[in-house]
Parts: sequence; structure tokens; C-alpha cells
Amino acid sequence: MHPLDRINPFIKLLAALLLSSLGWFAGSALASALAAAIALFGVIICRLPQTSGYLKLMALVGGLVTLSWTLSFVWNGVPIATAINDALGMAFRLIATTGSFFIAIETTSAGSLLAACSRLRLPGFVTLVLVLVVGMIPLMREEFRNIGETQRARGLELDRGPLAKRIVYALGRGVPLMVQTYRMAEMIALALSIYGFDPKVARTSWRDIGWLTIQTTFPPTLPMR
Amino acid sequence: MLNLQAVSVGFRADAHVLSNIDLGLEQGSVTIVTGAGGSGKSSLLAVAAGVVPKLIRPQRMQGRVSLGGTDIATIGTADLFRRIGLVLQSVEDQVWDLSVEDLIAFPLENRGVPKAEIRIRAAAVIAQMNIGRLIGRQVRTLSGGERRIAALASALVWQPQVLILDEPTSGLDPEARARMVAILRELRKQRLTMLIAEQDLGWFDGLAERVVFLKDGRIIDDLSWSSAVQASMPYVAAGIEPPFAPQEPRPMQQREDAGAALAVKQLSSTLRRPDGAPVLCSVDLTLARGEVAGLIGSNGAGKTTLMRTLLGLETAASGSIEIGGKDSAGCTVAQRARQIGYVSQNLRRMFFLLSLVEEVVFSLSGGETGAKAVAAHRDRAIELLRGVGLADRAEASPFTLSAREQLMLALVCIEATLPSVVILDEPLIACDRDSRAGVLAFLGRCRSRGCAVLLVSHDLQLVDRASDRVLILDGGRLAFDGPTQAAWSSDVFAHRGWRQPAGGEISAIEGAHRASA
Repeated sequence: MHPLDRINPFIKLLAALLLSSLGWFAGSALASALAAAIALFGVIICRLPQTSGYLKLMALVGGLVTLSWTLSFVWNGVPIATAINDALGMAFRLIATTGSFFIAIETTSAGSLLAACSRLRLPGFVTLVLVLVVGMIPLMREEFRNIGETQRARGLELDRGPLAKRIVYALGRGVPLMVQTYRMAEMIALALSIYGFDPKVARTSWRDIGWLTIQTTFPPTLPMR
Repeated sequence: MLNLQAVSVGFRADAHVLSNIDLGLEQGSVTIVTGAGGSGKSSLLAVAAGVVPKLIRPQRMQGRVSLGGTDIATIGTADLFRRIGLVLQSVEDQVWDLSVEDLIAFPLENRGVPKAEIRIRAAAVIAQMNIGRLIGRQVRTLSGGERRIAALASALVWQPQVLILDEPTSGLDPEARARMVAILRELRKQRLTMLIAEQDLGWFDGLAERVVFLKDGRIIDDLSWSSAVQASMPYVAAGIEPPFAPQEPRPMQQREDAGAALAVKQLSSTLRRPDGAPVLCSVDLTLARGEVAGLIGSNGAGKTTLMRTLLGLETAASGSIEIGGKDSAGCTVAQRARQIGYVSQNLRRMFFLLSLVEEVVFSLSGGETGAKAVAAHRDRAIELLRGVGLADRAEASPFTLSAREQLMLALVCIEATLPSVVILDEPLIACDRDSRAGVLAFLGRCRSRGCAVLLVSHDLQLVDRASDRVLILDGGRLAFDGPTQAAWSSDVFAHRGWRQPAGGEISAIEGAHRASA
């Protein structure tokens, strides 16, 4: 459990929203770059397990966004310096948005989010959607990695060879992932009913929940007699 | 307490999954339902718990299910699942990334129980099950046994009248099984009524009072525990291995010295334990061509790390791995896969193509897909599928197969690559005679082809029956490496405190009599 799990998830989501808004509403690429730098700094200092993967992905996606937007602007007659400035601005906004929400989601456990939703008296279906999104992301990521490893061990060359073939093979991972996602969703739906989840019933929580912080340690309590 | 009267259920118009089931559970009794995969065990439990028809609606359902004399159709869903505790088979699929305490408190929170009462009830069940050490951990980071215990704690938090468990010990290591059965014994002392679906009954002595045998959705026998431990015919009729019968003697394998298929020297892992020691520490291991070695060990012994390092999924800190006489250093995982076949515990992860025949062609062609590859290898692929009875489903999706059929397909795919070594990771979590026979036949073919097999399993009966040699991994070191029979009487095995497989020389299932029928 990450130390930031103690902060109310909605405060983290609000902070992420503010930072990404700064990136989007700032006029210049420099201001967007500042928002992106703050997000990246946050990602790095939070020492999240997925940091390296996130940084690689952002380097790739950021590069592609910059390149594609620059070409598009130039194609439409925008001067090259302006085109690069605007394209970089788009890439920085993307990094500011994904980075800030990456921190908010990755440092939030499903249990803390459930408790925070209960405290805010959110409707049951909103709680369900939010928790499914936050709770399912790590499960899907873990499953995707496991499928990749099993298929490499089966002989699927995902690490070398022609790029086109590797992309086709990488897409092959989607088949078992889709099957597993469907199966997991079905099982979770069944388990929710067995565990008594009812969107019409107001949930409670064992945690002390403040507007800023949330309890993460189960208190020692004497068993009921 | 719980009664099923003339219950029949069908999810399709043309077939019943349960037919005319009559089953009554007395207050405080413990009943085991057993049968092969697909016999209807899980469906029977789902009906008894009210999951069918309250949450899953069948196409047809007849008969009556009552709890404490009340028809469960008249009990509200929330109240029903308060009175009946249920732990499903695929625990790992039914929980999000919750912590243990969140999972235990979840049913109470969902019903709006006040905070103070949630804490008291959750603390009570944590103390009752002695799982304080698990508090603060995410359920998905727990071992299989710990996950099931956490799910059981969550089912018990309402103090239900009836507890229903689907395969609570399947696939667990012997220590975890013993822990789970000990917990269930404690619950029995508290007169909790239990209905358990299970195939491996060897662990349930002193717990169960009655065994109900299912086949094709029908009850074919209903015995007291004392009769069940002396019988073998009902198990055979139900399509499962008799758990208390001595195993058939293992045929002596005469192997010529054909050289090493796998040679591991001084292998240490980069992965480390919390105390800083490597998970694998200077492991030396050689598998001869045509040899089957069973690898056993407790959770955390290093079995998974050893498998992953052999497959190239983990980096070795030091040491060497030679497969088929060639050093595997520098090979990608996929390149190793041409020499070392791997059957994953989770078979669904292995398949990625749209039909059985394409999956086998991928293996036969050394990693090719598409119409051209299928045209070139189709006949051979069909022939291999015919060998395991799957030729008529060659165009079906691998994901539509039953667990047994997926296992057979996985074995065929591995066989098609003609590897020097095969790693089987817990190939049987069930005791179906058909599945077991399929695995044993596969091992026979490996032997005759000179392919070495590393069989990693908690199923000591299977290891005893199939292996020429047993390796016991303990704390990342090979603590025992010797002939199978010698393993069961070794000090290393005795130190584990595990029960010997029924075929072992001094097998002991407390209080049970060896089968004579």
C-alpha cells in the first residue's frame, strides 16, 4: 500500500484535475511544459512500481504526438517554428494529464476509494464504476503481463524479429486478455451480489474518513462476545 | 437445515446439469459432494446456496430448496447470503485488489452495518481464524491457501447457518491444505453445517461425515464417511481416483544412459527474499533424457523462480543452464521455447489463436501463423488432435473447451514442438481419472521420445505415480534429490510434516482404512 493511500482519493483526483487543467488552459508550450514537469516529478518521487513502464510509454507516445502534430500543422501551412511549439504543447498537455491521473489512481487502493465513496454518499452505481475502474486496472495489467510471459514461453517471439510480426503477436495477447476480462467481470458481478452489494443501500466503512485523509490501518478491536 | 427435494436444473433446453437431486443436510453436519469435472458439483452447490436461480437464471428448474424449513425462493437475496456463507472455486477471480480487512468487512459495509459493529465483527473473525498476520496485505499478493482463508473469513463474518465451499483445498500445497482443513474442523466443532465440493477426499478425515457421489448431474451413491474410506468402486463410477486406495504400482522404468536433457549448474537467482538471500541459491540439477522428475516444496521454496529462470523469464545471477546440450545464455524466451516446453497452471493464458488446429500448427511450424502455415501442417495437426480425442473440434475456439480438453490441447501443442525438456506446472488440480490418464499417457510418450520432464506439483499422489525421481526444494536449495520411493521416507520430507502419498510405503491417513473394495 502506497503512503499516499492515506490521502482522500477525491483530493488526489481534484489535484490531478487542477494540474491537467493548468496544462490545457495555459496558452504557451512553456506553461504546459511546466505542468508536465510537475507531473513527471510527482511520478518519479512517488516511486510507483509501474514508473519505468509509464515513462517509456510517455516517451514513445509524446514523441509520436509531437511528430504527427508537427507534420499535420506544416502540411496545413503553419510555419515550422509555430508548428513545433504547438505540437510540443499538445505532448506536454498529454503528459500533464496522464501523469497526474496516473499518480492519483496508482496510489489509491480499491478499499480507500470504496470508503471515500461511502463518505460522500455517492450513488451506488457511481461507486461501482469508480471502484471497478481503479480496482480492475492493476488486475488487467497483471493479467496482461502474465499472458505475455506464458506466450513467450509458448514460443511467441515478442522481443525480436520484424516489427510487423511482433505487433501481430502482441495483439494476440488481446484474445486471452479479453476472455479473462469477461470471465473476471462475470465473477466479480456474482461475488458482489453474494457479498451483498446493492446500489440502493447506503454503504458504510470500517475506516475513519476525513475530507483530507483516510484511515488505512485496521484498528485492534476486542472480539464481540 | 438445508434440503434439496427433486431438484433438476438445465441451462439449455436439451440437457440437465442436475437431475432429480434429493439431498438433506442435518444441522451441524459436514457433507462432501464429489465427482469428476462436469459432473455437476458446482451447479449443485450453486443451487443449494440459492445462487441458482436468484443470481444465475437457468432455462429450466424444478424441485424445491429449503433452508430451515423455509423455501429459499421466499427468502430475500440479501438475507439468504447472510444465512448461507459461500466460497466459490475461483477465489482469485472474484476479488478486486482489496486488502484482507477490506474483503472481510465488505459484506458488512455493503449492508450498511455501523462502523463500530463492522470493526468488532471483523476483529472477531480475524481472531477466530488466527489470520492477524495477513491484515494490511492485498488479497492478490497472498498465496493460494491464504486467499481462500481470507475469502472464508469474509463468508463467516455474518456467522452464517450454512457454509458452502467449492473445492476449498484443490491446488493447494499440503501445508495450506492442512491449515484449511484444521480451520474447517474447528468450525465443525461449533456445529456449523457445511456442504463441500471436493475431489481429493484424503484430507477430510475427522471432518466429513458423509460423501455424496455425483455423475452426469445425478447422485449415484451416498455413503457415510467410514464407508467412503473403505470403498473404491463409487469413486471409479464417479470418474475420480479413489483417494484411499493404494495406487497401482508404478512400472519400473529402464532407461539407458542417454545423456542430459537439462543441466543446471550453480544456479542462483537475482530475485531476493526479504532477508536479502537469493530465492534460488546454487542449485545443481540434471535431468536425463526420458526422465520424469517431480519437483515439490512449500510455498516460497523457490519452485516458481526455478521454473521461470529455466524458461528465461527471470535472470540468473550466476550459474548456467544447458538445454539439450546447448547453453541457453543469450537466447530469448521464445527461442528457449523450442527446446523447453511449458504447460502453465493457467491454461487460458497459453492460447491466442482462433481454433485448435491453428494452435497446434503454430507449435508444429516453429511459430508461424496464417493460412499458409495451416495448409502446410494441417494433416499432422489433426492427427495429433485425434490422439487426444479433439480432432472433431479442430475448428473450435480453444476458449470453448473444458478444463480437461484445454489441458489435452496444451499437451499436444507442447508435444508438437518436439522439445528436449518439458515443464508441467501443476497440470492436475482435479483428480479426474480421464485427466490423470491423459497426463500419464503424455509422460509415457515423453519417456519414449527421450524428452525429460520436470513435473512441478503439490499433488503428491501424481508425483508418486509419475516420477522416476523426486526433487525437494527448500529455502531455494535442493534439499533432496533421489528416487521417488526414497523421497517419502527421507528426513527432508519428514521434516515438512506432510502426509505421504497413498502409494508411499508408510502412508498414513489417520483413522482411515485402506480400500479393499
